[in-house]
Amino acid sequence: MGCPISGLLIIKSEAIVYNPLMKRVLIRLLSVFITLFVLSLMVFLMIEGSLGDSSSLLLSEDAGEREIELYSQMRESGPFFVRYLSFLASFFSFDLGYSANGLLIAPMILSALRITLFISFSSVLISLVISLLWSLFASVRDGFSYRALEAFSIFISSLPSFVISLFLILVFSLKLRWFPTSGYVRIGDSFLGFLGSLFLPILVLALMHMSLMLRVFRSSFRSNLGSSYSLVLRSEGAKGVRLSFLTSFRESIPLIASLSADSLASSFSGSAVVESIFALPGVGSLLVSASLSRDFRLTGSILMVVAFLSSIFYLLSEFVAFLSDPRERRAR
Amino acid sequence: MRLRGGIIILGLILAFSFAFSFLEVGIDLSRSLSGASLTSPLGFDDLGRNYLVLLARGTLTSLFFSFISVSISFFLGTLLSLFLSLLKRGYELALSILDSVRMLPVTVVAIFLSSFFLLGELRIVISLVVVFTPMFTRISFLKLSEIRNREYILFLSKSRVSRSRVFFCHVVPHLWLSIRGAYGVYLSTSILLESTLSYLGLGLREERPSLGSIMANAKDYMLYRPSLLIYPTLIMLLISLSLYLISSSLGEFDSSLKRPLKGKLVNIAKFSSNRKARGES
Amino acid sequence: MKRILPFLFALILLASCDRVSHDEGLVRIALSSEPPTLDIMINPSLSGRLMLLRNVYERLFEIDESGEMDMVLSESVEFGEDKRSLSIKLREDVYFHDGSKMDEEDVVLSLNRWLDKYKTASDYVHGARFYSIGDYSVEIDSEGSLALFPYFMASSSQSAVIMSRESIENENLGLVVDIVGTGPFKLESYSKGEKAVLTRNMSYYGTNDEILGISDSQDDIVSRLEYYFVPEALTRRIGLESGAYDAIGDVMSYDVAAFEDNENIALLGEEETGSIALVFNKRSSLGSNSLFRKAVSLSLDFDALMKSCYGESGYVVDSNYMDSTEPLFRLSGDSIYSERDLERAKSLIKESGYNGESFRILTSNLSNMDKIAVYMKSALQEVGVESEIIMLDWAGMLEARKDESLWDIYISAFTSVPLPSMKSYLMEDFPGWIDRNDAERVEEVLNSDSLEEASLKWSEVQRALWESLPVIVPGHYTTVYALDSSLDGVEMIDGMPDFRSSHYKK
Repeated sequence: MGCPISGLLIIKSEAIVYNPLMKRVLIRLLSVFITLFVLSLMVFLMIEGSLGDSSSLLLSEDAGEREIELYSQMRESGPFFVRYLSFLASFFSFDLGYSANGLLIAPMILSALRITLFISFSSVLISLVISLLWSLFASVRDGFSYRALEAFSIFISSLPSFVISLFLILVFSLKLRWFPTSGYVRIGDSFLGFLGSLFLPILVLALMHMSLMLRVFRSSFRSNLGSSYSLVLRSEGAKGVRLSFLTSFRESIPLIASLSADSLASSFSGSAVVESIFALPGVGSLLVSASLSRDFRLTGSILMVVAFLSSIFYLLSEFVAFLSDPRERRAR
Repeated sequence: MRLRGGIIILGLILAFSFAFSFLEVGIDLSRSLSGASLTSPLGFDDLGRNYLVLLARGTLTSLFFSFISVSISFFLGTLLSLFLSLLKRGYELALSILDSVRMLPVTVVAIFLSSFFLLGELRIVISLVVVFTPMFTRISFLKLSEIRNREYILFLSKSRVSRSRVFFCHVVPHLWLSIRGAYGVYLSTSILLESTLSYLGLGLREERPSLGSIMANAKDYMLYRPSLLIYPTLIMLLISLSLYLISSSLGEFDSSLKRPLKGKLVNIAKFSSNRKARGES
Repeated sequence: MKRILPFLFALILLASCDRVSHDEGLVRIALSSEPPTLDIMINPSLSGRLMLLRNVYERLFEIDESGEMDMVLSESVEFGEDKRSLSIKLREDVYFHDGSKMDEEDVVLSLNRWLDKYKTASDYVHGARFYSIGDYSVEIDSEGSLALFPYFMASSSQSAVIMSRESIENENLGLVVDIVGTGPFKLESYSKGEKAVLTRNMSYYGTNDEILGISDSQDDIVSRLEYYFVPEALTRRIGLESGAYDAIGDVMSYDVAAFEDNENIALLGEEETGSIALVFNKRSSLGSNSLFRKAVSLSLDFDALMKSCYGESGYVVDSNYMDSTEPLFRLSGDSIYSERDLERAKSLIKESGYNGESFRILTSNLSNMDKIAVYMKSALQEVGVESEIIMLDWAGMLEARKDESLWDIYISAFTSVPLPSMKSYLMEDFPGWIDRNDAERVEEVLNSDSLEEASLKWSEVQRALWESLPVIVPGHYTTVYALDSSLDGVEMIDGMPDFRSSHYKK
């Protein structure tokens, strides 16, 4: 290669590295990788260390010693390090291999993800909309609407998810017959059926997200009303809800981003109970059933995929927060 | 006012639970699912146990285990954050490792721990500690950075006052003030988490009933004897309410700190200290 | 904004009206658990057999209550001299679901695979294997008598079903994943964690024509079975009542009462499907002490014990190891072995030299068996025995059970088997580790030329075991199914609902 080009490359790469935004992004990406790497190691150790493998579950109680040995051998072979590397490698090449009962893992996780992602996104969206609106109204008043918000939030956050789910099933499915109790209708079969079958689970998750978001937004909006920016707006004639909205609009974007990422990430594992009650084959219930049946490969694969997606959500939220705050951008 | 109300409610719950827990539970299948009686005003569960006594013991157990788990996490978390704050460069890396720990779903941790039979009840404590320690570390770290950059702390550390004195007499109390609200919130979260684990069958052992396992059992009879589920739900509501009242009056716990504004806040702190260093405002 | 809301609401309401109607011959069944694998030759769990046995997979023959062999995939079954060989002539008109014809190669491969995976059966035939003698016939020769072998082939929980040779060759990790059988239904799809869908096999060699002939009448024959995995009992019940499911399994006893009052719901299933066994660890200090074991048995109220797990109904107190579906292996007069005598228990405990150590009860939280442990602990406390409950999830318990230093007794449920020697807790190297003498006596039962002879031998063994108490069998359970009452023609075979002749009444 000619000198000028490599010189250009060096200059370009320097520019990239020293650009504050890029530097930030690179650091975050690096930490994401480290997180995933450490997680994979922990997951792998945990799985290897766990007593019990799926042979007890799959083979009959009458299986002879020889049969069990052969079975175990089919799974793990080679020294620890080799196994770990192959575990990692499979993840990177998207070939996640087979679960303990001989089925392909990747399609299983994909179809489970479809459901869980849809439920998560919908529930976070719904709770964002409702929480923002409600908090906005409650931030300018101190009386009933605030108390109601607080009471509602405490009420929901003190109930375990299975209690909320069962209660909703009782009311909506049994008494009112509005929604099916359980089961999952594929979007291809019937769009309305699809929505109907997922409505209650989405509602449960949305309620749980809302219980947190309401309080956070309300307190944030409220405290912003005391800022000098708010004072300026007030002097310009803004009042009530409009004032609160204008004051907090810009401020709350990073807050929204981080809460959304939090809720999305937590709903992966938090949805296990909801999915179990509504008999939805999502990621949460797949993870629980995989770990309960000591299916190492499947558990590890799911954990890695979930961690990867969570990291992406967090990364995106940080990115949004960074972009939306001009102070940040100027800081470097 | 709020604080007092919260403390009163929690105190009453603790007192009643403690008092009733000394009575006999009494397994007697012949009075399975019977209604209220004089000795047992809340009725009997499916094993014929005195529901009032069962709930009393369950409440104490849940509170006790949550208290222990969250306290240990609090202690470990703040220690870790103090350690991290001493690192000049590596804290990002350390926080990433903490993130990985946090991403382990509590169910997987609980199942893994169930392989170690000798652990018994420690299993649930450890699972909860694994969940809450990273959260405490993060909050604590953020608050610590913010506090250390407060003007008067900076002033103190530049003056003749010894570092350890600055630390123990000034920084630590402020830290406690800032994060004690989080403690209350996490306490009620941990009771919920424990009940979720019980639903999945990973909680405490059957003989030590906890609110979660009582509720998980009661849900099977929901259509037959709904009161079995309503009573523990009410208790959980009261506990959450009291904890909320206490924690919200103690300190403004902003859960935006739960996660990734870390970069932002640390940088704001740095930013403001940079500005000061440059002699601005 | 205000105008959108009611519209959205209506939309959602519409969604709920979208229910599949019975005109399509669809039965939606909600099961409480999902089989760990669909390979029912290897895995004996009930949920796998429920879905696939007799629906997708078939055995060569069945044996009915009167002991008669009903041919399924075979035309005739004959014993050789001394009953040391078995000769089976196969049907020639059977096709697998993938279109290939069933021949003797498929049968030999399948049955030998079954024997490879099923140690008890393989030991019974002294390691022999099937071989083909051409012309749709297979044979097996053994050193010993094969008199009871048909029972293994027809009723064992590890099912001797016939699979296509390609599916066996395409094993993955030792398990068959291509589910190709010969039955009246074929597996259309399996979505792990959600459901398995079976559709009618239109080229079934069996009585399809007769069944399809019903369509001349007003009724709709069932042509599609969807098995859903719904672990939550409440969801199953509400699903049935609201019409989301047409049939549900594992009905809880308190729901039975509610269903009896509901004329839209019919209940099925009164046969015993298995028993509870409390298996002592004969290698631990407490478990090997026969006086202590007797004391434990005397301290328990078996009715209360079964009630703690099953509720008001759904069980029978009976100490016979075998279920009522095998009447030849049932003895009367078992009630003296289930008596409760606290005073005698206390004195036996003293005599046994019990010095206050903790009696470790291992259980899992599956199907409320942990409640049995709670009851036991409180009952034992009354006679002065301190116990400790070790509760794990099912897989964890299976693993813990292998370690003899961890437990003194464990609680489990055992499904019906045709012969007593098939009860796992009577096998020598199975956790519990029954005495060599007792094990030999049990094995001796198999050494019979007929079921009647086996039955006579067993009655002695059963009485002896009731004295030595390697296990305590407090009672037996029944599995109840609830169906939409407009669904007719559902037969219960071996405690499992069979839908092949079912149809919806109009």
